[in-house]
Amino acid sequence: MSRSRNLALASAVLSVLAAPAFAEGLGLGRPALPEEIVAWDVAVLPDGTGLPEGSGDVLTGEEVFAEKCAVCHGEFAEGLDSWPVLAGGAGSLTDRRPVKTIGSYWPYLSTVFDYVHRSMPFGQAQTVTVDETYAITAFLLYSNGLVEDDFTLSKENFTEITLPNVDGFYPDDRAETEYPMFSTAPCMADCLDAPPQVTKRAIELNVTPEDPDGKPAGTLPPIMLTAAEAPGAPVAEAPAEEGAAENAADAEGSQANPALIAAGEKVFRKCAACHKVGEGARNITGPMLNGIVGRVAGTVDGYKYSKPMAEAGAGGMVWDAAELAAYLADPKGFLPGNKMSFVGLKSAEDRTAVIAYLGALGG
Amino acid sequence: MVPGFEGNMWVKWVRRIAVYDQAVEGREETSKYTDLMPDGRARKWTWVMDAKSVITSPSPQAPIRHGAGPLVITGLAWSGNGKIAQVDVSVDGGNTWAEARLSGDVKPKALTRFHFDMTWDGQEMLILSRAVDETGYVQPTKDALRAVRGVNNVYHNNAMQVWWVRADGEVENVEIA
Repeated sequence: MSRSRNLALASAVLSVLAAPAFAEGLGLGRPALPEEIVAWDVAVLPDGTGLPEGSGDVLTGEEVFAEKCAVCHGEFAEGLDSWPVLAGGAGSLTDRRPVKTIGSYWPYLSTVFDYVHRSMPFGQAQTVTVDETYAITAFLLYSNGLVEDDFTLSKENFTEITLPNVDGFYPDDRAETEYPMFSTAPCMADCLDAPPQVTKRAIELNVTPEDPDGKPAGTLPPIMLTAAEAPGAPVAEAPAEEGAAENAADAEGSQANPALIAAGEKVFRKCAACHKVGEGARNITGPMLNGIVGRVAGTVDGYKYSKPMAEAGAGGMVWDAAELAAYLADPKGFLPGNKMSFVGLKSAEDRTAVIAYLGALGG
Repeated sequence: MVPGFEGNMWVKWVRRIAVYDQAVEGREETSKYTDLMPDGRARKWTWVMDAKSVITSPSPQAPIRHGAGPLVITGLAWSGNGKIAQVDVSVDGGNTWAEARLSGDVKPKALTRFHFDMTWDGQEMLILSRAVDETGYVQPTKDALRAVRGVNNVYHNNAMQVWWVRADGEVENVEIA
């Protein structure tokens, strides 16, 4: 929605609403002139109310579209990136992923004219002239196979066009079709036939905004002392963690080297878009990497691995420094079919550094 | 401000007001806020939000940090069709339910706070809330809504929201069956 928001609204003038009595009393504002109201009232309704005088043909529309619209919607109205597709989609409304265009979904042609004239192009609203709007609308009809290439759309023939899905809508009927179904006495006990199973996890969709620490955006700050800080809590925990970090570093045959670890932290920026580390790290596109050094491959809880990676782990492959270095040098070549779409780290120095960094993270 | 209606009707900026004797059928009204049904037809002019509720604590942004022991599960319920009459809470994925307390002066179409007191044993839980409004409408499961509306119908999703509470108190947004 935000892409199509009319930015001009922020500076809109509200003088049309100013009551005359109020204006007289305070000396503010004035009644809107009829000409001003006409200029502001750009709404076009399904029965043609509000259509301005003018016309435009398909070929002109194609040129205007290429100049003003194609940068987002594509030369053929096919939609670039995630911008709306404007052509095609007929018969797709019962598909898993329907394509909603004026040819497949929109009920009224007036909506196309109204919206293009009122709000397009994005960021430059109301720079399309009336005739250009008729032409673009004609081109979109042509792109959807609804008119021939010699067609000219005008105020006069506008309401003769009926879009294919005009009868595809019906007013809200929930009161009849849903409310009786959902208004039975609620079950209070023994409501399930089988124990509930988790079938979908939002975290795997990777659409939840996160704070820099990897927690869901807006997570409330702790208001309690942590267990380690709480009075009377066992004090042995912190030293034990330090020991674990040292062991991890030792396991790969190098002493903890702060400079190397710091360098590795910088290298890790290349990885951080897909891998989280540190306290509370979660799986996102890739698995979280706490304790990766020394862990059996494919075993981070809750991450859905590729088949080759899962099999490598089942076969006993352990991510020691040598295996990690080989993997990071050539991710695809090391284990064909794995999910990591990363070109790899060409520099042996970078690989050593990032492995030292990962080793220092501990579990 | 349009109490009881879907959020996008709570207009942010008024540029001008015009009164028509027919539906304008604007771009958002026709192509976005219509509800495509499984048969390929679409509901239009669906504005009222049916009874809905969500647990705000514990939740992914409000994990349990105090460990096992006394726990108050709390959240919000509302309905576009009147007052909230009852909110039930389940901590076992919807097998058993218990009625929560409502607090404050319960008003039609207004957010209504509920609380459910329990003792947490520190084990994993699948928690969810279920609102019932004064018309007797019971907030449905997501599967029940999908059975009627299919999967391309999102603007009026008033299904129960399930949180997966882990033993460490962290909470995850999940669907269950």
